[in-house]
Amino acid sequence: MGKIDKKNLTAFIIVSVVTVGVITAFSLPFGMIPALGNLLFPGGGIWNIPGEVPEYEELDVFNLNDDVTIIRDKWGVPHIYARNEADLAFALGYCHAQDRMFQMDMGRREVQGRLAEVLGELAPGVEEYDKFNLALGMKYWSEKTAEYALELQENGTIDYMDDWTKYADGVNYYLDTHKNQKPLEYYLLDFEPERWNIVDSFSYTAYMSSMLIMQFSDLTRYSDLMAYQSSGYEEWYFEKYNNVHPYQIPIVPEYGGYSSLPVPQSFKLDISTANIELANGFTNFLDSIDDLPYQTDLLTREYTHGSNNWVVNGSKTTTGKPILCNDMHLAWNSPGIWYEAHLVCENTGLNTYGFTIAGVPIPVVAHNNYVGWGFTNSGMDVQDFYYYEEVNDTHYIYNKTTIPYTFKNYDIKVKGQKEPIELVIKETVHGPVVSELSYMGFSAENFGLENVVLATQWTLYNITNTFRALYGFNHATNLVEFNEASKFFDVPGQNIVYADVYGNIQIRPTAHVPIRDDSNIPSWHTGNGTLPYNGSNGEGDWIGYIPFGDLPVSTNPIQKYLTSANQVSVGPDFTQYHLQSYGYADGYRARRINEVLSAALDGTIDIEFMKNLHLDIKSVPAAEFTPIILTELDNYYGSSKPLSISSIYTILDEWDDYRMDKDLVAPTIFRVWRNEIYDAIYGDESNQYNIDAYPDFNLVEYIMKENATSHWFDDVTTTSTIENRSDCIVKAMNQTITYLTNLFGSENPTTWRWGEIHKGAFPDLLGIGVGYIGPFELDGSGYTVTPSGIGLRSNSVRYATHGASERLIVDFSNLNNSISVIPSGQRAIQSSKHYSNQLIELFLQGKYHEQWFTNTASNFPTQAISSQIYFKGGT
Amino acid sequence: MDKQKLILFLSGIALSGLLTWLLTLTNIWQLVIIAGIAAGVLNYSIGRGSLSGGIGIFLAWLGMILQGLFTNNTTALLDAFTGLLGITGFAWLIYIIIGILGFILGALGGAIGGGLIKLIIPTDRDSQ
Repeated sequence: MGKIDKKNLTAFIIVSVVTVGVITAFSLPFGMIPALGNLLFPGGGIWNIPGEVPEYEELDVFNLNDDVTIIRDKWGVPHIYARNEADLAFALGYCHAQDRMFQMDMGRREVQGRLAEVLGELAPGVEEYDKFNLALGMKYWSEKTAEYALELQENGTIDYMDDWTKYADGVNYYLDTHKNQKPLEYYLLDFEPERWNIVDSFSYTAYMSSMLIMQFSDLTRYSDLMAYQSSGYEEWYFEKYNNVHPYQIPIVPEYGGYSSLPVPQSFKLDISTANIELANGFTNFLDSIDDLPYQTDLLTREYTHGSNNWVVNGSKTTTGKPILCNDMHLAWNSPGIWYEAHLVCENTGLNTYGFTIAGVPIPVVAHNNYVGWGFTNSGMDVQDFYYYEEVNDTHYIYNKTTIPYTFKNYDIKVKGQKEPIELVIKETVHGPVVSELSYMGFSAENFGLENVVLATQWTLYNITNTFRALYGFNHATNLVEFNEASKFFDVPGQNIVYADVYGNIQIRPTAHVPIRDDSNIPSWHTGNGTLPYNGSNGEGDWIGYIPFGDLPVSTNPIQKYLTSANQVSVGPDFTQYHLQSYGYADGYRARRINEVLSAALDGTIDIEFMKNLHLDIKSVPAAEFTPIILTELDNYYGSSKPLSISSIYTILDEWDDYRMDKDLVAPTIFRVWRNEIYDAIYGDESNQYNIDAYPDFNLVEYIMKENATSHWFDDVTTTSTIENRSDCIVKAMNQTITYLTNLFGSENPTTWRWGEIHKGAFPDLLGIGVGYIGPFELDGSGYTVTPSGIGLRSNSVRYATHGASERLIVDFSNLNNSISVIPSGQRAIQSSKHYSNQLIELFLQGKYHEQWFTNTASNFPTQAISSQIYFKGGT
Repeated sequence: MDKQKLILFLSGIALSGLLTWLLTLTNIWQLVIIAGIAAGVLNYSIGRGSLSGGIGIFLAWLGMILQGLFTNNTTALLDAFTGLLGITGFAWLIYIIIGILGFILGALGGAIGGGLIKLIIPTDRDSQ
């Protein structure tokens, strides 16, 4: 061997160092950018992510009792055929993990306050959101509910918790056998999916409930009340909140209806015992909630989540059997929240097709061989706030007695930080103290009062039974069994529409609705949880829930149809209990659905009719307001209209069907005018007196139609003149023209096409552009049966990101005719053809897909099969 | 390049390509450097080893890219990834970068292999 060449040695060392440097550079993450080598280089990362599930697969699964067949149809919907329900649950868990693992993971993490653990700097401040969710007790009560369910199983009350365990086994079996086939998001965030357990599944009750029932309007009302009082116009408070519902058509028709005239409830308040400083504290608190990082729509959720459902009985349909429809309106995402599945069990006869949430072992909205059901949010008031005098860090005054807080301790791990954040939650007899969560920058000082704390109580702060209801719904064979299961539906409050193959139809707003002890509230307090309570005085304790039998329900009504679209649940004749305070819709979608269904002649409604109603885009507000606008423009300008007004007048005058069609201009004008008329009527009072005078839009309609000389039309900033309805309408129209001219960069109104600004988008789950779909031009508006709401900003428009999250039409004359669609795809893998195919090929085209509701695998039409998995069990 | 060296050069490409395919089965991309080293060792030259290893890994990765492109729609995943960078729709750029990086990794491996073998078994010319 010769001597070592120094040049060779030098070159070797240099190259080696460079190589180590290159490998290191591609092996380490940089901020938001993951380790690029792991993600991008062949042999790992994206190259292992299977776009599609295998076309055919046979797997030996040792802990299955029997064989299971999973057929995915052409839309990727799994049809699972098993001989027992445990195996069925296992297979559904497998499918959920195969198609939606990351979504499942993030859902449980949100409830359990564990988002920061994987997001870290990617979502600055997300740990504050974790704190908020932990404080609200969602993790704690999910665990307690799971324990309770297992106790019920042990004492023989229920017998299906083993199935839920099997579901978790199915998820974990997939994870164990596909370790290198994680969705893209896991590579981007650089973490591994953890094993699934039964508590994770129960977390989803909290997940949905927090989305649907959490509200802060009690605090807003209090702040409003004090602001109105300070301004000297406290009677206006009752004009905004007077709890009457002009033009509303209640969900349950048996309790009377509302005339067009609201009942005036104007009276002088004695608020000597109220505390204006406290109102400032509540306002501070609401501001801090509004600023909550990562999840910023907490205050607006109740207005953005709506839904429609309706059902007609057999005398209305062409077949003589009911047809049931549902479209739940939730945030649009890619993937969407719903995952369709068809579950068939040979031994028990279960045959159910519906919308599942990945993570939950059973469909939420579905139909089986006998019954079907759908939901809308009921807006029942199931959350209250209490304020107390605090004695010291460990004690507070409740009902005039000093008692200790209880404490819960959590560690919040944050990605990139060595030490977890320690979180201590104080709890009163009612619930968690939310006014001391440090992230809100909230303290007694900026609360406005020293030694005052604020806590909240809601129905989710308890063990829940909703899982029993869902199990019962899926297994019900008739109305009696369905109603029996409904007793367990305690949270979130929903309007449950029902129909069956025997011809019955029903609607039932139901939930645990608290009854408050209002025996010692002050005279100004409107009670029933409508305002925060003074916990130190013992006000407003919950003394029970409205008995199930006393909740409103309508079964086989004379009108032959039933519908809910988040409007008020009951009419004025329902007086025994208080159901709702605020948070129900102003009723326009419901009015349109009622209009169409009531006008339909007997024997005329079929599936096509129902499709058209799902996709209906007539705007009731436009129909009500446009003639008034035209009249007032005539009154104001006469025959000498300025050119700009004249063109607008012509466009609106020719708009005779009031359809929010994306190709028309009139919808653009009306939508912007709707914003501007609010400002023209209520903006002056709001600014002048520092109040929030803006009411629901049906109250605007009321004063427009019934009280053209209402004081609201007067501009309080002008002292020499008294403005009227005409002035406001003209002012709003001129503002509309200015806004649209700026927005479109053109004075020519024919260019102001609705579709140009009315667009919908489907963001990815992380909100970072990884799989974002859209925007797409859309028909409709926030007030049409087909819903989608854009946001008008000063010089731009925010895309609609919520709307129908599913559409379902169930035909009880032949369940095989039932159809459905989701605005997404089944498989949350960006490279899959099922990632967005239902959205692109069906939903945006107003189409649906067949459900292939066959009760055996062998009968499944071969042309509709896209893949098949065969689990060989018991081996 | 004489015939023997050409054969070794081409063999190095084939060997590094084959090893790249095999090593990807481990899901540890860093091991791909071994494929380049093998090409370098075979060529007994830093220069030819680099080129041989680079081309070998490049071709192997190109094959895998084409396979992913046509059988697994990886473009959609890369588009999603570029969304994170704010340049949605630039998957093709990522493909090119991956190919170049494959070549660079192979070249570095080849240089190490070529250098290493020369250090272990230096020729007379090397020791002069």
